[in-house]
Amino acid sequence: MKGVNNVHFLSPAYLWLAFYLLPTIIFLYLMKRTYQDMTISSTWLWKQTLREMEARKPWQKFRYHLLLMLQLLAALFFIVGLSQPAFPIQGLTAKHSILVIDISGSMWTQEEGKTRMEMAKEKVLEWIDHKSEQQMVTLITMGKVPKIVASKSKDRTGLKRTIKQLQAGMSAADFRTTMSLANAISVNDPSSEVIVISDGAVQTATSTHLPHRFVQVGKTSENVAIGAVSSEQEGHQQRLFVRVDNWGKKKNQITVSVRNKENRLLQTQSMHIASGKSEVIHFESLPPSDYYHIQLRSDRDALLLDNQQYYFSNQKNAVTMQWMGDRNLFLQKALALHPHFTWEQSQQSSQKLSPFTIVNNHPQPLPQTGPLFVIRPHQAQKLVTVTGTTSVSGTVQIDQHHPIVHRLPLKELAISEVVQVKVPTWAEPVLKINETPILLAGEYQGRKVVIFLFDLQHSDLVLQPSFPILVAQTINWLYPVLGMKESQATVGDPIDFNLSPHIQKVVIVNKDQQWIQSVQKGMFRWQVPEQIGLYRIVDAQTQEDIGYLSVPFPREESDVTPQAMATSAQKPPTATFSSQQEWWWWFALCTGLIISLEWVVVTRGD
Amino acid sequence: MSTLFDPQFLAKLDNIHLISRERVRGMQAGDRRSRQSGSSKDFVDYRTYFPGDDLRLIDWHAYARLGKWFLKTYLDEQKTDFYVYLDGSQSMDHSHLSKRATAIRLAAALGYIALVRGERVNLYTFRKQIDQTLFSLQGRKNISRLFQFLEEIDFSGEGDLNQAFTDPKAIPQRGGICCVITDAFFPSGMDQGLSYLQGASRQVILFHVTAKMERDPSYQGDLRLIDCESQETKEISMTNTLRREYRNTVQQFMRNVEENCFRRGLIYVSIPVEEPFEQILFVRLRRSGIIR
Repeated sequence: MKGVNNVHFLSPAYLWLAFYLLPTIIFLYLMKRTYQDMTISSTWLWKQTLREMEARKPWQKFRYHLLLMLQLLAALFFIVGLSQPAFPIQGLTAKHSILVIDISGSMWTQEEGKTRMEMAKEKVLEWIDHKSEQQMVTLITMGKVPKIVASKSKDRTGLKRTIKQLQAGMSAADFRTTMSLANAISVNDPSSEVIVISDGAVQTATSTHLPHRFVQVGKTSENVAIGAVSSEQEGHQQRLFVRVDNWGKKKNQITVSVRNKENRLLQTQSMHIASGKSEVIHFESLPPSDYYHIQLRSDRDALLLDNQQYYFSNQKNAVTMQWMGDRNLFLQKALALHPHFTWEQSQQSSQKLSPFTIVNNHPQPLPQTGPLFVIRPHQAQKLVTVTGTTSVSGTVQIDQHHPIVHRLPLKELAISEVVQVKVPTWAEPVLKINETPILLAGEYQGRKVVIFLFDLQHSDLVLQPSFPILVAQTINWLYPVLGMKESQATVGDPIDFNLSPHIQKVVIVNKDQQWIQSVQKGMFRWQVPEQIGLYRIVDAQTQEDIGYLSVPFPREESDVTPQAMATSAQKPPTATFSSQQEWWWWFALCTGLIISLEWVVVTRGD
Repeated sequence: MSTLFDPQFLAKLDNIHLISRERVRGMQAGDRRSRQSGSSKDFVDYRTYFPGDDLRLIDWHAYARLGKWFLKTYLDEQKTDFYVYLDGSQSMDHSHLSKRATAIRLAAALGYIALVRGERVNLYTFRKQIDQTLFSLQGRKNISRLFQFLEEIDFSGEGDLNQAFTDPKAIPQRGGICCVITDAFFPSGMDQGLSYLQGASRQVILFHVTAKMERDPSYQGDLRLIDCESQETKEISMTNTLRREYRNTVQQFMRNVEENCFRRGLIYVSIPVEEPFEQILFVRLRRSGIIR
């Protein structure tokens, strides 16, 4: 009843028309009703008929004036329509409204036949419809990266077109960055209001900026999702562990099936999962496959996108690297931790093409190709210019920007003999002690080179917990492979591929689309598009599969439970505009219908 | 001779007899069956001989077998009085509804048949009282007089059968057959008047004359209906519903009149004026058992 009480007229002056129009109609009606005289043999039976009709149906009296009633009603509706009845609705009240629309993955949640994204769009479209001409709107989409899709626009048509084109993404929303952006726009415009339209299933805790207003879409929280998948080798077969999360508030029955590359059903299991719980399902003795397709089915599930995942075995063909020079037990142990590499001893540069060479205190000539991991370089190798040796100890200076030593927990080091070199222009010292470089890294003649300027046996580095980390990061930098780290990616992530140097071009294919990428020296970078699922990387020349990439639905978006979002303590700008729902067209419609009815009455005489 | 009927039609009427459902009492011999035994060819019964009886009536065959005198008795056919009461109100002559013509022709035809059959014919026109009369016509020689009287009737004014028949002049002095020809548009009804008439006569026949426009009016729009007799008005907006309701009222009214007649032992004959007159006369009246 609140809405009804607030009904007002935008053009109330037209109501005065009623004082003229209604009496006029009545007058004209009375004037119009000039009866045609007709003499008949007897009015006796007519009187009797009318008397009986009125006795039987008292409203018959009114029927004689039905046309008058209809005309009055039509006039009344016409006048009320002209006076533009309207009631205020929740809409845009500020001169400049900054609308932040959540396009994260949870907005794909289906409710009452519509996605939350569609609900949000409907809401915003309604606001745009009812905004005044002076009001400006800035539209920001809140996805992995916030985007301004419309800036201070007054163009209703353009805004509506933009909103209609919006699509929910497949990534988590970056609330903090988006709100920073919105706040940056808002802070310079005191008449602006920030409104977030979202299901509230976003991480808001870390944000320092909050919206003035939050409009929630969606109600349901029922969703089950594949949370994680891992595997274990058992001989030639695989054992798969699938964790299923029930984010809903009710117990849910689920069915999980595993298919192989040929889409052949391997195993299926069903179970019940309690509300808010997770269950791990074991699939034993799965035959080997390039990848497994895990699918989840449930009767009560509002979000279907998180119901499938692709999983590949961790077993990769190990890369065999060439080891030249002395063995080092500590280095061997550190290398053994890396699952993709094996090594073979060689005293001189092999003719066999090796992807990667470790040269440990070895004065022989270096191989011509491939990345180099050099320990204790020699002058004869012509890699660096050796000027002498020295001993150093103390706090290690770390170049944190370099990936080899990024976040390396290394504090102090003592080295009895460090080769003093003139640092070449292609290399940079990533570790130094007392300004003496002890580790160089750079690209020399098109290949990556890392040089430890000391013999590992002459330092306490190998005894420190950071050593295996340093080795692993060094190898990853020297020879990044399409390994476990890159087997799964999230939407929008840049992926670095390091392929065989002879591959010139690759085609990345998913179920809907394909991308052709040129490869420079076996390397290229590719950004995962807004599509989840399986991507196949194919050598464009040989048409052979190089590898796979799985892009699952972001896990944090599986929690679709709508939550209220905190709003800013700051008062929104004083409402200078009021959005209102106009009713005039309802009255226009009713007027039309009544006139039609009147026409029927006139023609049919009833 | 008359504009009412052509000679061929009159020739047809010559062969028609009026049927009386009740035995009539008359003073002169005629064609009408009497309650008394008489000299007609229709055998009634035997009775024993009393001195003074006509010897011609003794059944000699019975005497031969039984040795007693028995007399055969026959129906006595006597002349009877035939009364025609014609509604002379304005409603009978309204517009072009043909009620007037039909009523006059009906009265003329009945009167003609009666005169041809030697009955005594009495004519009355009534409104709120008996208006014009023509008494005791007998024989063919009075046919032209009868027709002239009918043709000169003035249909005007308000009618009220009940009131008209309270007039002693309206009641037949000698019981006979009374025919009332009317449209029955009497707001006060007809029961009282008809009961007076029935009490004084042997047989009453009500001819209910109606026009199609009265039973199923086709006029439309907003109308002020004016009663041609009383000049009372009634404003209506003619709708399909109202038309339907009026039609029902008329049907109910006609049914009521017919049922009242049936209960009282009166003969009711509906006369729709749009029907060909020959059909009215030779089919409806014959089916009603009024003529043969």
